[in-house]
Amino acid sequence: MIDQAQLNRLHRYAVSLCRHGDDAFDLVQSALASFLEPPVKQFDDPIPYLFTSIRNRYIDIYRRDQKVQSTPLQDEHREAADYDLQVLETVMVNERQVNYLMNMLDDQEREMLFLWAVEGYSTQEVATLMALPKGTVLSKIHRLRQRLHQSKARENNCGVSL
Amino acid sequence: MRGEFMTQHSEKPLKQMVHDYYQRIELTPEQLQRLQAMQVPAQSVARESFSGRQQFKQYGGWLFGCCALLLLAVQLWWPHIASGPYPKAHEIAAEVAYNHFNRRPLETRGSSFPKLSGYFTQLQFEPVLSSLLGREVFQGARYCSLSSIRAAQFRVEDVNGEEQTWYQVDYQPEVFGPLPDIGRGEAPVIAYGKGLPVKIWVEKGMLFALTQNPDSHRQTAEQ
Repeated sequence: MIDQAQLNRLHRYAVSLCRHGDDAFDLVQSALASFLEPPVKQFDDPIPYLFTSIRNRYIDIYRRDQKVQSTPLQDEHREAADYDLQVLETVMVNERQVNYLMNMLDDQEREMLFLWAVEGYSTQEVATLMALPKGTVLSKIHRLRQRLHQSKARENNCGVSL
Repeated sequence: MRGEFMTQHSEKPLKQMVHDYYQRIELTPEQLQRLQAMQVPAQSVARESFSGRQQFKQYGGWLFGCCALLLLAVQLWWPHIASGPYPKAHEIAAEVAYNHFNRRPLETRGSSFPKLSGYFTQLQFEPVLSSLLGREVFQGARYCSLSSIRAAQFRVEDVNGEEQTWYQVDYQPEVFGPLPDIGRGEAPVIAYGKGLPVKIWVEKGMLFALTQNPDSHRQTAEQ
């Protein structure tokens, strides 16, 4: 039995992928239906399986419809070599900046942030879960940090919202 | 208003802010109810499946043991099951039929049984007539063997004028297995060898085997 807290975890993960509550619910419902289909699957912790299932469904549906957002990485891999998710630990933000960030990030960046901040995964674990090379995750962190600095600087200069 | 402004502008670590951001996202009660309702039938299936596995774990060993015993019993008793009460009858019939079709030359000729039986001086038994022989006419005889035991082979002509082979040999149960003894009121057994019916019986401590005309035997069987 997937309890209420676990269902909300799944829903939040789905939201981190597609941003929209209703789409996220559809993803969770579809993954859960598949999970419950016989033969009965026995897991000590079914959440990782369901996360993967949600992710695969998201890619199937949204990639097929060309809805998945992606930003070209260019040559950031080399620059990002020194970065790790831990560098984000020191970044301070306020609520407005977080809201802005969530609207600004593409789906992979949001997923990465979710897995790190909410689920507590390390850089390597995030890379494994997202089926990405670690270098790609590192470059995304690098770019994320840059954007945060830029948006903070803009907020300070203008004195208005992001 | 000032409180809201302060909340929006107070800074916290990014990790905590992202965590708080997602913690505010929750399924609506209706969505939650739908997802929970989906799990009710599956839960009962899982329970049944789990219970089935538990039962298998509990009784699986016994079940396996019983199956193994049953298999062993079948293997041991299979000859009896497959061949009925006379497991060697088909072997005897096959050997008799083989010799019948080979028609090896007779070593002595004649229509008198006493004269023909006098030919057999090297047997460990005295050839005797059987009460089941009727109007067969003897043609001759020769030495032969059945299951490697020396036997007397007679060629006779049945009522239809067809040649038949009649065997007799010392009945050794350890070699030939159980066979019907007409002295105890048991009926002869008909076994087939190479498509030929062979009537087999025990009488006066001797084993007799007489080939049959397939057509006449078929007619008898149909009647």
